Amino acid sequence: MSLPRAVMREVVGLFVGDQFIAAATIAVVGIVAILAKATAAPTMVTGGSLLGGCLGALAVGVWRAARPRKSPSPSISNREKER
Amino acid sequence: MEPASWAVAAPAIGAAFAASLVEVVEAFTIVLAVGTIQGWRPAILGSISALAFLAALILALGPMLDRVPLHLLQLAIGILLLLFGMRWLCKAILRAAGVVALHDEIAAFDAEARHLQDQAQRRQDRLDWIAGVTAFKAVALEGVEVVFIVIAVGAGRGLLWPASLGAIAAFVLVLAVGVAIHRPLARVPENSLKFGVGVMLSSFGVFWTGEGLGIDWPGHDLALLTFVAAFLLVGLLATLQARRIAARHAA
Repeated sequence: MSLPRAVMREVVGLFVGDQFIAAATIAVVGIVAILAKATAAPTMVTGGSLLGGCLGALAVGVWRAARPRKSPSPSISNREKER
Repeated sequence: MEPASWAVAAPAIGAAFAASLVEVVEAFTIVLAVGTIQGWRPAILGSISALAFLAALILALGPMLDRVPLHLLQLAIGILLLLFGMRWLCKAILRAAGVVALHDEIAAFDAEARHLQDQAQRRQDRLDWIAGVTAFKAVALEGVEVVFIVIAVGAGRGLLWPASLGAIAAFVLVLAVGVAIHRPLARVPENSLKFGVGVMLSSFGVFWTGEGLGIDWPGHDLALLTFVAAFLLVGLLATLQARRIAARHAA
């Protein structure tokens, strides 16, 4: 693999290891952004949603990765596991 | 520095130090394998070239950060920190629970040494070049991660220098210990470090994302401590839960 491609893969891999957690985190931030900007919800609601949503994404992501599955399609790639 | 500022600067230094320590140890293992198998000339040349590449990257990215509006920068960095921190935390939880194998520096050293010895048998004439490129890639790839960690931890509120100090301290420490013992640094508690760094980076991520979205955190900078406690608690509970699932699956 050429060095620029390897660097690009490394940079993307920095942020996206588990696709579910990455997608859920982006979704949480998107929902909180809408809450904060469109509805002007109070800080306790927006801040609490952001923190709670991220903690929830983490907990569900770990549960999904830990549970046994029949087909060999782990959410964390083999390359990720090796590192 | 005021107590509230220290509440942000100290975790920034600590997070950059611990995260960089993990990356520098990984790069050091490969450079050590190259130096041991093929001699120190290609290992050092490859490493110095990679450090020059990283310096150029920092010089190119640094001025760009000043041009981005603060709220946008905080939001972008917050999201990247959340993605980065939760990735590390999830992986550390799965490793601590025994779902994923722990990273082994001695195994990584042996694999790299075997790879270079295979190359040596096939094409002796180009081996110096291959060894140099191997060292360059290891330092450049792990170094890019360190650069992103420093930017992500430090750029949100003018903490680039404290974060850089943390990264430089990690580099100096690994180099000093590595030169002294001349072996892969297998006793670094890498998974515990990744767990701790994952907790800190995720907490920073929530904080900066909130700031970027205009959320006025109660207690301001001190809210970080609440986030650290929350991620630590959920991380520990998730480890217990993952261990239980793995044990049930093994039985």
